[in-house]
Amino acid sequence: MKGNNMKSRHGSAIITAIGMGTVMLFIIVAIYTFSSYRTQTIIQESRRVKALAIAEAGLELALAELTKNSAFATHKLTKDFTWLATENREHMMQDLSGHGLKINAATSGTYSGKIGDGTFRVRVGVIPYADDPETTTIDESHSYVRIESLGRYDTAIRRVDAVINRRYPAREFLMYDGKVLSMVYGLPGLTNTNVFSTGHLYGHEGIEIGRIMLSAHNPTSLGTTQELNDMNAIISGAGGIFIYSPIKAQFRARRGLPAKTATIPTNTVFPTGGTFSSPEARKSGEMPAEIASTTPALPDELKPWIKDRNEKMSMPLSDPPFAKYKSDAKAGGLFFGASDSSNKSIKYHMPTGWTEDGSTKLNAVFLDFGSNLRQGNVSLPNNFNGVVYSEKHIVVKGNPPKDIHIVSDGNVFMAGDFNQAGNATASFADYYGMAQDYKPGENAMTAMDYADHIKERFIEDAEPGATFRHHVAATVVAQERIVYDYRSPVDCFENEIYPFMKYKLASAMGSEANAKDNCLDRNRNGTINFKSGSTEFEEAIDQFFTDYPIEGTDAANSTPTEDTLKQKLKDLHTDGNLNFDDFDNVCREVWKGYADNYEIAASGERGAPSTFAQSGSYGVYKLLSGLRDKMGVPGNGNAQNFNPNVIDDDPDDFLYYPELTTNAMFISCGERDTIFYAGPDVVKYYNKIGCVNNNVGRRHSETNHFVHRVFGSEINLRTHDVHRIDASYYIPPTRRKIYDPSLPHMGLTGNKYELTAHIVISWKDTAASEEEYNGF
Amino acid sequence: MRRGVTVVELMIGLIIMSILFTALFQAFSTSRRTATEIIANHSINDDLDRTLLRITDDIRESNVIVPGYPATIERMEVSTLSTSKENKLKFEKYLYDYTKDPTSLAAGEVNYTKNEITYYLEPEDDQDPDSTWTLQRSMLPYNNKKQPENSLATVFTIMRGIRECVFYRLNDANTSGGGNVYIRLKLTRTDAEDESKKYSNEITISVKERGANPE
Repeated sequence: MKGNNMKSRHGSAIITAIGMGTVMLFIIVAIYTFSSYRTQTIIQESRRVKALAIAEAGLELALAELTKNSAFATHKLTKDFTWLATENREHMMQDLSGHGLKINAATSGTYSGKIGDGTFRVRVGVIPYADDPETTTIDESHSYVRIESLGRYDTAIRRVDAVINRRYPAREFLMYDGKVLSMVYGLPGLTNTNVFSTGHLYGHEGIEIGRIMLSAHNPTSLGTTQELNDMNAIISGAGGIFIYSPIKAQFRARRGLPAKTATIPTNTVFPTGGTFSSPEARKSGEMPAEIASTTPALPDELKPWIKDRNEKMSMPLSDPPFAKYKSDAKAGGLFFGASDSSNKSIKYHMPTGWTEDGSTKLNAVFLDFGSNLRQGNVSLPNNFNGVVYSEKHIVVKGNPPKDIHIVSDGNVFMAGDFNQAGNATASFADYYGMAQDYKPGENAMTAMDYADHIKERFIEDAEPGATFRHHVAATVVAQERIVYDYRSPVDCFENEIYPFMKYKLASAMGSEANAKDNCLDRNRNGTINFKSGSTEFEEAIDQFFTDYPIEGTDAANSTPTEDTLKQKLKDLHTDGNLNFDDFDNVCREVWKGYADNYEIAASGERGAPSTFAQSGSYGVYKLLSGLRDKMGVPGNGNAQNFNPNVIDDDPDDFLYYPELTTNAMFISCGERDTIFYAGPDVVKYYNKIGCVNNNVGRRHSETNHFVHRVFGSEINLRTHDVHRIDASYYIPPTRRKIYDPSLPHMGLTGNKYELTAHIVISWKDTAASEEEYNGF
Repeated sequence: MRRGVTVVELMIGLIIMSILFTALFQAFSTSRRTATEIIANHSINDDLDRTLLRITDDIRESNVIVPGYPATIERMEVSTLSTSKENKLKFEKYLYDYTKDPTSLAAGEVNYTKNEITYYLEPEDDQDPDSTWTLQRSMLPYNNKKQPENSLATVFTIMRGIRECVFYRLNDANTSGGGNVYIRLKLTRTDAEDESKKYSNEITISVKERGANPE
């Protein structure tokens, strides 16, 4: 028993100790397990967050690559999102060792690298969605990109799978402005209408549209108004849309949305006594504080087409790839350095107040690609890669023969018709340039665009295998400004004045009826009949040059050029009548006489009219006026009493309304830095030169009497500081800014220079396994 | 010599053991209660995290926050916000089908559908002004003709017992679409007996939708 008691007593203590120990152990284990679980959960969550951040960074890097090189892709892709073969690629982003970013070198396939302690792998591919024929301004087959990015941190792997809507603003938007898009063009006291047709309008910080009502923020007589036609959407990224007067607008149908014709009602009364941060700011385009940050109301019925900042359609753009442009121009294009001394380099005369240092000339390269009526001065190299780059300013006109990017570190001056060639071989109507025909009963001032059969020629240009292209895929890029230069009627209206000059000369040398039949009407098989008497013939020729002098105002003191031309024409009498081609050859020599005598004769200088061309007696001005008279333009030379409905513009003749035509994607980077009163104000100096009496030109036309037709797009990024211009007065033309429906397609495939904006339209974050990462 | 224990000794031993076991039990019980409290409080934090993470993920996958849901307010108004049935977060998620040929789309059809998602709050007791709230998530699908499929609409309860939940956007002239969505969520323990000792946690987050309107 004793032994048992002792055992029992010893056993109780041990059991008690074990029991207590067990309880303590249980508590300790429970607490440890709990805290350990919490710790592990937090650690794992932390890893997942980091892995997700790295995957997101991979996505953003891929977007940055796409921004710098729009042709960037790592893999082909099926419609159901299966990755296929790798694609060759060239990445543009650089390592940032200070920030722990390293991108692995590779020329094809998965894009990968390291960020801090994590790694990423990214695939990028264009979704082979078919182009939707109903969306004129977008090629859907290039518009959707899948980016799948895997981020890894320690053991955690996250996947971000996104679809990007790639927008090509220069191809899709009729007009884009990195600040406030101002669509207030024209003069007071006029009833003409500027038309903006097709595509999107975008102002990153707002849009203002309205009729001219103010002058330097003081009330003035009502003037030119604006009209919108066939628009896709009007978008303000981070600002309001200010409508100062009722605006007629027509919006195109989209899938699930019918077309809409409406008048956008006034939603903003511009405060004439508004508050500005400074008097200088007031003159520089600042919106008054009273309305600057407001978001004016828009009709609900128009909201599918008009989207202010509440709709979150922000599309800020980066600069064009200037460095890439420059290196490619040196490698297989045309490059003009700052010290270039080739025969393309010129001194370009500028209006007072235009240059930064006060000088009267700018260093530029002069590029004339030629036209149906003249030879150009540009020869493109064999295997031309499509890039022309100048560290100087560029002055350009004519019809480029191939797809082209014209890029300048400074300004690009559009100094004549650009990129609209006529197919003279296939169509007699295109003999002097592409026929600028309107529908019967319409004319350049009443119609928004050319007749349908003319417009179709531009669309056919984008079709594969097109044997002749009336216009090519042209992109004009300026680090500073794109400047429309109206100073020279010889350059701006060549294809309009030349047929009229030919008609007037044929009238003088023969009869008006014969001249009309064989020069104005489209008849190539007729004969230009001369006056029978040689004296009468010669006097008529003298009279022609008296009426339309090339040099000097006195025919008796005719200059050698005129004498030479006169004698050449007089000599024709002995050979008898001329057929169309022979007469045309002679006329081209005469026209060359006019053109050569328009500018001063100084070698290497352009842009300054000769002494005679600065007077109103110069024959080209008279021919221009005569052309308008012939077309019945009311108030020729007088802006008032203008009725566009009485203009006689027969679609079957060579009489064309004076029109500067510039067709391209125009991309400028310069800030707006000139006199520019916000609101429905006439005092707005856009980047224009000419058509006023000064050292670089004459006032050859009134607003009602010439048209500037931009067929393409206009992108003003406002990203670069530029010097201020304070004296840039010009006579504004009547505007036709028209979208080019070939933009979504022509020259896009494989184009690495495209200006793109990327909008994430679907985004998903999921987990991924080690095997998936390793095999990616 | 007899070496057994006396009754007194046994009693003393039992008393000591009782005191020890009582102390041990008290310690254990206190620890257990404390652990329970900690777990419950952590549960509040977890619920907060989980709910906010869910809404965050939802918003980040969305394309468009519907204007006015939530309303855009000035910064000084934030402190005045309170939970209400009218304060809603509404956004749209678009689902694209790239396998379709656009030329095969019938009139009025588009290559996407969308889900309209709404987060809203309902009081758990309409009669009680201090009632806690329930957070609901409704989803209304739209077909590829942009028409709502009301019969397919669903409502799912995200969380009950919410002390405060408000959605808002801040008026910022320099952001597009009103910038981020802010969510302020407050949870309070409802099982504690002592009102003053109720554990409570409040978190405010902001998040921006990643996508955009397809048009």
